[in-house]
Amino acid sequence: MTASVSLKDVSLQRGNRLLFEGLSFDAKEGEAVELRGANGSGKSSLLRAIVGLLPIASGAITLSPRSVDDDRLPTAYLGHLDAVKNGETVSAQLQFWATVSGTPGANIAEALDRLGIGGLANLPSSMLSAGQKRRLALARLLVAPQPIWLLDEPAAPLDANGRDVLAGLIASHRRAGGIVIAAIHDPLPGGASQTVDLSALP
Amino acid sequence: MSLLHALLAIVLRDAKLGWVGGGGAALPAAFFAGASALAPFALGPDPQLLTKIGPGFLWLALALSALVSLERLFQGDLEDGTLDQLALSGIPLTLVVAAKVLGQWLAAGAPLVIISPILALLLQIPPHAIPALMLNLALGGLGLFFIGSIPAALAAGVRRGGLLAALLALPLYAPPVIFGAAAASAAASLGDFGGQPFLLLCAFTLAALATAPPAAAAGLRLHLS
Repeated sequence: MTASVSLKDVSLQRGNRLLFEGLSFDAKEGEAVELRGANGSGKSSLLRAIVGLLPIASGAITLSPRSVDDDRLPTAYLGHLDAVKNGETVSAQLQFWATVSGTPGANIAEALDRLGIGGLANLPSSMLSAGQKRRLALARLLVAPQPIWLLDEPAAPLDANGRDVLAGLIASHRRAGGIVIAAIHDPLPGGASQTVDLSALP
Repeated sequence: MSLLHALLAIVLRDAKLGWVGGGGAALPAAFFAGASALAPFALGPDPQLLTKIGPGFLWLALALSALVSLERLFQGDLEDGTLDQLALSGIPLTLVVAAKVLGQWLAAGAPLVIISPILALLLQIPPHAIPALMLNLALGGLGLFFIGSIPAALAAGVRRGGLLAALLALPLYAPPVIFGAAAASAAASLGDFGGQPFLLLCAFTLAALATAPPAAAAGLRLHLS
């Protein structure tokens, strides 16, 4: 079964405030979707709604592939928080997330190398800069592979090299049949196959 | 199998971060030791009086130490995004909560049990009662940490949530303190495990183990959405 994301007439509400309504788009395997919109237009909320952390007010979100006997969505979510703990080394941290995600045998060193932080493996995370923490968070996408990536401002703290690395990750993920949906202000590193502007919605 | 593996990883990580990650597990232990060590000075050196109220005083210190560590249970994970990732990991949130509370107890509750024999001697509790007392404090502490996870979950994400969590936890702490202190007193004077109050304490801890994780998980979901 191939990966796909389908949103039909989705509307989102926070408290009494309607963020947007009537959002529909489809993404098939290998596609990358840029979510645009002004601050507060609901980009982050939409990503959280797609992974099921936020209830939608109306409409339908369909994700595939999804096995029947499993609660796990085919998604990997990277919010604007990196979920990096100060008391642990970089590699211990990544190993933890691999174990928790059910892939304890994942190649930690290779994932860190691909993100360009292989040399920091044994450093405590408290020594990392914001960009390095984001790279560590991105490495989670490699050790716990999922077909659909939801990224919230993934490039924000990254330097030029980091953006190139991110573009490379997204490109190889798309080549492997994965889908990327990213909330982003600047153009997505490596380009997107479609752009959805939330500010254009009612 | 991989689920057990994942849960064990959460337990061990939280136990470790309690000590090295600024988790502050030392504070409850210091509080417990300090309060119990000062008790003979505050109450006077009468050995008979100390023997009589020592077990109850240890329980008071245990309950307050557990209260002190409540705020840290979920707050950090909520603030740094760890809880998002754990909630999305495919592990039921109820089990994540149970693993986290167990990890917190290993970091902040188990040390209290380990230092309790010294404090028991300071409070003139007879040495032969110490094994029963340690078992009592271990099981009781586990119950206090689990039942406390409900208010901790509700108050996580609220500014100065520690105060709110403590207020919500106090009434939940009354039954185990009654049973636990009565069992500890009986153990100190009679030398057994504390009879009926001890069985009631065990029942409370079992009930907390079963009911607190789903309730706390429901509370956390409110903060995730």
